[in-house]
Formats: sequence, structure tokens, C-alpha cells
Amino acid sequence: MLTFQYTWMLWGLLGLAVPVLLHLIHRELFRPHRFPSIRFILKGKLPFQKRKIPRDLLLLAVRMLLFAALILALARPEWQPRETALAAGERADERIVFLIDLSASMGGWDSLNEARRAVGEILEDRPGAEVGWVFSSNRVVGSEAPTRDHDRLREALEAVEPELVAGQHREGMREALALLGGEDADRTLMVVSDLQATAWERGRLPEVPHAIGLEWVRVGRDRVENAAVVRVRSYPRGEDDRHVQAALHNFGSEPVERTVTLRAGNQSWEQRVTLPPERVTEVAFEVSAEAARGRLSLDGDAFEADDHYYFWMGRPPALRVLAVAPVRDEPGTAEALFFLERALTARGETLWLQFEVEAVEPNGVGADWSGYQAVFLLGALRHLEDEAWEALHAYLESGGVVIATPGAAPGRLTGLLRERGLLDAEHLGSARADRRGPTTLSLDWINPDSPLGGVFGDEAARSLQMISLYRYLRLDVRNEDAEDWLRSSGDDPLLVYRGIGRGTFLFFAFPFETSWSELPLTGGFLPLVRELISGDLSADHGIVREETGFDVNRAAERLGVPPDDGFWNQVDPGVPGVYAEGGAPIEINLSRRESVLATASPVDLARAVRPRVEAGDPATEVAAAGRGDDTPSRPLWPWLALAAAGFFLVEMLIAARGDRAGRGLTKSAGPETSNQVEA
Amino acid sequence: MATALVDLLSPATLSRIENYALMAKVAVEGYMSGLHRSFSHGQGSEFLQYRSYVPGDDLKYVDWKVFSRSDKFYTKVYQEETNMNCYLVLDASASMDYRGERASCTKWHYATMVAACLAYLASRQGDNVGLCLYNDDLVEMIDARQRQGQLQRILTALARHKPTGSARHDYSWNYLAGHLRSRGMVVCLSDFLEAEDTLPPILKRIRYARHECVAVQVLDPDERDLPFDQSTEFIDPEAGRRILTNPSKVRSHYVERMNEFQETLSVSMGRSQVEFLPLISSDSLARSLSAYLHKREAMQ
Repeated sequence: MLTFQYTWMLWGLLGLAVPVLLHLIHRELFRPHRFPSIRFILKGKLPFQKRKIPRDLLLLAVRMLLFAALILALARPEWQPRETALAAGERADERIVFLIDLSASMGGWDSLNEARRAVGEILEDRPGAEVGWVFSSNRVVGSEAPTRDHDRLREALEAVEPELVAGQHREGMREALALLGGEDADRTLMVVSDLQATAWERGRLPEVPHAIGLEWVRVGRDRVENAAVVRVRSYPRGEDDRHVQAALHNFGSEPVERTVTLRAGNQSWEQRVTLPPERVTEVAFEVSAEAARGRLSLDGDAFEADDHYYFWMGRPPALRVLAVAPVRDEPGTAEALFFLERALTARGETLWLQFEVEAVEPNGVGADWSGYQAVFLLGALRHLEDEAWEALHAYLESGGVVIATPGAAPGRLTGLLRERGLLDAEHLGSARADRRGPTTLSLDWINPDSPLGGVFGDEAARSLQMISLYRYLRLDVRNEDAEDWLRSSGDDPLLVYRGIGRGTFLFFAFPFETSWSELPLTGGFLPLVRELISGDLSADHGIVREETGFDVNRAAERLGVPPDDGFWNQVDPGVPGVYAEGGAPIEINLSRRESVLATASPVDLARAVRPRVEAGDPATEVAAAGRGDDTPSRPLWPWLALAAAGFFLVEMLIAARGDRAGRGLTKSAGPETSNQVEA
Repeated sequence: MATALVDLLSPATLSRIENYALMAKVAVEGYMSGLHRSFSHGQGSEFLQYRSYVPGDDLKYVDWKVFSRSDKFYTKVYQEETNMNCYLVLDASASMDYRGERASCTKWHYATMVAACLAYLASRQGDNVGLCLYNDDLVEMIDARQRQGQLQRILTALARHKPTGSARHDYSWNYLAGHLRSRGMVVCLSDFLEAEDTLPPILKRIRYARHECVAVQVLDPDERDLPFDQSTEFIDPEAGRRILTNPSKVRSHYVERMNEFQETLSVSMGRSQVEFLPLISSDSLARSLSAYLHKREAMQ
């Protein structure tokens, strides 16, 4: 039978009247005129009167056919062969399995109730059929094999509710196909869904054999408007002050006005916004809240599940820093460790990131440094053991940041650095300042292309340059890929950068000890150290964000909390919310793929799940020859487009010939031959 | 609507032609005093010539002086001035009822004005004037007379009738030819469409009957050059035939055929010793008629 994908296009066939009207308008209108000397016109040469009217009619017919072919082609007609008997003998009983979409979007626009009514009507139309069902969200929520007890389906459908997850129906379809069983019955898979494009066009759906009928029951057709909260981020601006930035998406084609409400603890704040169509609008709140969990909401529309977003409003989790200092063997390193800990654990209004410093002796270094944001080796290079070196290299390869300072016996340090492949530099001795004399040393140059250049602008750079250096190692760095980030007034490198693997190796030419410089005592030391280890970290670093229905094991790995930890007992992957006890905060929200209004075409979906018909294979050909209205339909629009092109050529030929004939005169067959049309 | 009498004889036209005489080119017979010559032996006639006496001639016309000198009998032959019978024969078929945009009147109206002018001239110089109107039948027949009110009767008849139907030239002319009493002048006014083969022989027979024949053809300027541009359905006013055509595409051929027709007609009339006067209804009647009469006078 003939079906159309865009049935509404057929209204365009009314335009067939257009060529007729044009033909009538442009046809020649003859003025009647009584004229005595008509006999001489009789004998005159006339244009192809006799031929003109048939030619005009032919031209009209061709134009109408051209127009009709174009309209029909645009309507995307498809021919579905009539159902043929699959086997000898009478057709067995009918068996239907409903695949019912329970993704989050089915909770909007009254889609699920519409699905209930549609299923009910189908059950009434097929009282004798065996009926089974599969409820599918992003998993198989529930299923039952076909029975003749239709009430079981009705009851189950009444009791079920959509899940707050994004749809993924691959497993659901597999389950449904399995429930349809063998070929002892007339089998049909009925998909009841809003056919949201993001759910049905992602991933590969299983093949539906031609022997199984396939019907698509689309619900929720009046979904034309929807707005959603798609993203919320909170940035601390002090102890309790927060900057909350939200992105709101209007998926509809008309602007809408909504009230945005931010709730945190017992507090709430509102804004009224106008959301332009098909765009994302940013909204900001500046609030003071002690609560660490927030929820941003839009006032309700037809789909409420995407109107709420749960987010973490507290400070981001502290970053772990490993500081290796051979305090026992080099007591001077205790001073460096002290200053480092003080710089990293300081709290302040602009200090969003927090650090936890783990100080160890070189022989206490573990084999796995992956959990650290950075590793400081404070005069510890000479004291590392092989296992620690392996861990260091592995850490650098994986992207870690290692910052080393010289300790005792710096002359042997450069050899060690070279030997371990960290830095190829020659020790040229030490530069010393005369504290009581004219020779002074200081920081003189900050590499503007380095992360420090971004932090220390002109004024800040001057503050660094005022720091006195008493002593530093003079190095001649030979690695071509090494960069100087700081230089002394004597143009010697004071901080050298080298990228190793995916990680960063930084070497200071002086330790963080007051006997070498006054840097640890100055206000520049804190930002310097922090910037070196956290320059590309965002203010919400450490917050894990997941969609509802997420894989707990994967999230556990990201959080660093084992899946069997009691923390996960309180986390329901299917329920939006914020969970943070015992670990890094995890935000769980409904995927905004469920907010999209676009739907998939049943014709395209049917074509995607049907196996290709193999020419010459009687089995597939017979099966494809007909199974209700879902057997492989043949698109007819290419033929219609070809026909339209043919009609166009014919129209051009006829019109051109008519013009040429009209311009010229042809001889009549004889002197008295009349080629006029007489009334 | 019948032509008003005042439209037939306009002062402007009359003022141009009244000085001319409608002189017959052939000798006519008549017994009253007129402008036309006749072969007659009446007194007061002008001596023309001698001829041998034929027994039976009136002896009073024998020239005895010649006999005394030659012992031979001769009879005198005289010419007498007499009046003329002038018949105006008009084609009153539907084809005459046409007026193009460039003409000030229909062909029929134009022809009736020509007939009226000729009738006026003939009547003024004492000739007998008659009228015959025909289409597929004789519509009006007024015998040639010279009596009081004759001109008025003719003008009334011209003004009253409207051209209709188709022309049966042979029927009407054969009837007319049988009623022509004496030599005179027969003026045929028509468009001569469909008659180039019919009328010249008829007029030729009348000419052989010693009548002077003048064929006055009246055409509309549209018939000369088919000026139309818009696609037109031409309708024959007599036969009712219809032609759909684009005149701009057939104009050259039409003009060629019309010229052939005119040439054929002119030659036929010439061979029939019939004077042929083609007129166009957009031309000034006074100018056309006065030019024609002037030429006639010059050829006398």
C-alpha cells in the first residue's frame, strides 16, 4: 500500500489549479469582430490554429503532471507491499509485544497517559491476541511474556511511572524481540514512545526481522514548548559568599518568561527572566549562603523533570600535595617544608582552592602518586630510592607536577638530574650576594609566556623583583625543550621548566630557606607556589557530575571512593541530587537529552532496524515482500523526481516548438487549404 | 438606425459637386429636353449626317437639294438633346454594414451618400432617376422618373433601409435588366466582395444593351490593410463563418490577396467596358466625387 511520510504535503496538490489558472490567464483571448473581407483571411496564412489548441492542452497537461510529481516526491511516498503468506497453511494466532518507553520525557506532556490510552485501544481492537510487554528506560525496567490476559498489561501500565533517566532502548528492544518467540504466530512489535530523537537515534538498535511486524505508536505529539536548566556552577567568593552561574535553554520556537528560583538550605532567591527561543540564556546569582547544596528551578512547564538542577555550593574538595623533605638528614629542609605548608594551607577570600599537604621522608614515599595534585621534592632528590624514582617517572608520565629544590651538596645534584633524565644542566657554582656590600641578587625576569607571567603582572612582578636573593645555584641548562620561567638579575635561571611525558618538572635554583632568599617570607611566595601547582584548575575542581542512571563503578573511580564504600549506600543513581558526605561532592541530574523536542521519524527508524533485503535470497525476499505495514517499504520519491525532471524537459520542448511556430509562417498545403478552426 | 436624410446630402459635399453635370457617356434616348444626346430625328435637332434613303423613311427628312443636284435620294440624320434614365443600384447586403475605426461611417452610409449625390445631380439636370436596393432579394425598386418628389422618394428610400442578409447579385440584376426601359446610366454601388466573377458579366450585358455602367466600389480602410493586432475571431456578417487568427501574422498575405482581388475586379470591369470607381469610406466624399466628375467631364 502507498504511504506518505509527510502527508501534509499532499495539500500542495491543490496547487494543481495553478497551472490551469495560468493557462487560462495566458491563453490567447480572441476578440470577436465582424469583418466583411473574411474570405481573404481564409486564403491567408495563419499560425497553427489547428495545432495550437491541442498543443496548449498538451502543455497544460505536462505542467500539471510536473507539479503533481514534485508535490508527491516531496511528500516522500513509500510503497509497502501487501502482506503475503509466510508459510503454507492458515495464519496462526496474533502475538504482540509492546515496548513501552519509560524514559524521563514520557513524564511530560501527559505522554504516559496518552500511551496508556493508545495501548488500551489496541487491546480492544485485538481481543484474541497474545500480549506481552517490555518497559524500557535506559534499561529493561520490567517485562512479561505474551499472554491472553490483557488485564495484566493494563494493570502494569497503570502502576508504572517514567524513570528520571535518558532513554536508551537497545536492551529493551532485544528483550521484546526475544519475548515474541518463534514463527508459530503472527508476531508484531509495537513501540509506544514519544520517539524522542536523542533516545532513538543514539546507538545502534537491534535488527527486527522482516518476519516480525513493526508498528510505531507515537505519543506526546503536542510537545512544542520546553525550557530547562541545563547547567549550574557555584564559585566561592569568600567564606560564605557565592557566585552562582546558571544556563537555561529554551528548546521551543517561541520566547517564554520564567521565574528562576535558587534554593540553598532555608534560603531562596528569585529572578524573572525572558528566554528567547532556541537559545541558551545565562543567569547569575550573588548570594551569601552557608548551605553547601543548592537547587536551581524554573517554574513549571509541561515537562517538569528538567526544570530542576542540583549542584554543590560548598568549597571544592582540598587537593592533596605530597611534600618530600629529608628533615632527618637535612634539618634545613624543615624550614622549607614549614613555609610550603603555610603557603598551601592558607585560607582567604580569594583562595578558592584548598590543599592538604602530606609531608614524608624520602624513604616514606609510596609507589603510587596518582592521587596528588603536585609533589614537592624539597632537597630530597639525593635521598630518593629506586621505587620512588619509578613512582616519580610514572607520575610525570601521567601528567603530574613535580617541583624540586636543591638541598645539601648541590654540586652533585645536577649529575643526578642528568642521570635520571630530568634536566641536563651544568653546575657553574653558586652566586652569592654580599649582604653588607654592593653585590645584590634578586629576581629580575619573569617569563611572560609562563603561568607565572599571567599571575604576576607589572605591579606583582615588581614585588617579586624586590625580593632579595642571597644565594642560588648557577646553572647552564642544555635541554633545548627547557624553559626559564624566572631569571636573576645576573641573567641566571632561577626556575627551569621542562615537560616530561604529560607532566611538568620544575627546578628551583634555590631552596625555600631564608638563608638563600627572603622569598618564603614575602607575600609573593604563596601565589607563586599555588600558581605553579594549580594554574589550570577551575574553581569547581573536584566536583563529580553525573547523569541519572550513571554507572556507579565509573563514578567511584572518578571520586576515588570504592564502590563498596558505605557512601554509595546513600546515593541513588536514578534520583537527582547532591551527595558529598565522606567524599568529593557528586552532582546527579537528569540528562538534558530528555529535554530536546525533536523526534525521530518512524519511517527512518523502521528502515534502520530492518535487515537489508538480499536479492536472490527467497527467504528475505518473501519476508520483505509483506508483513503488514512495516515490511521494507520502497521509497518512491526518486522515481517521482525523475518523472518530474522528464516532464520538465518535455514542457520545455513543447513550449519552445510552439514559440518557433508562432514566430514563423508555414505554407499551407494548397491555395485553398484552410487551416483555420471554424466554429 | 436608418440614415438621416440630412446625412446623405451634406452642404459641404454638395458645394463641391454642384457645379458638375452628370453627363452620360453614351447617347441616350429620350423625348424631353435634357443634357444628353440622342439619335433622333426630331426638329430642333442638330444635323449629324446623310445616309442612303431606305424605303420607308419619312420623306420629310429627304434632302431634296441633294436630289436636284445628284438625282439620288439621301435622308438626313439629326441628334437631339434629351434626358437620361439614371438607375442607382445599391448592394444592401450585410457586408456593406461595416465601419472601421478610421472611417467616419459605414460602407453602406458612404454608398448611400454617393447615390444621393448622383441622384441629386441627375435630378437637377432634368434626368430620370431610379433606385434599386437589393440583398438576397429586391428590397426597393423605384422606377426612373423625373417628377416632383422623385428625389425625395429616393433619398427617403436610401435613408430608410439598413443592409442585411447576403447579396444575390445575379437574381437582382437579371430582374433589373429586364426592367431597364431605355438607354441610360446604371450605377452599381457595392463592395463587390464575392462578386468579382458575377457582376462584371452582368454589367457587361447591360452595357451591351447600350447602357453606360459605372461600378462604384466602397470599401472600408480596414479591409484594405487589416490593421488589427490583437488575436481576433473574425465573423463573416453574411455567411456567419468564424476565423480565429492573429491578424499581425496574416496581414501581409491578406493585403496581397486583397490587392489581387482589386486587380481582378478592375480588369474584369475594364473588359466589360464598365467604368470602375473604387472608393474608401474614410476618404472625403466631396473630394472623391468631384475628382471623379471632373474626370468624366474632361473625357466628354
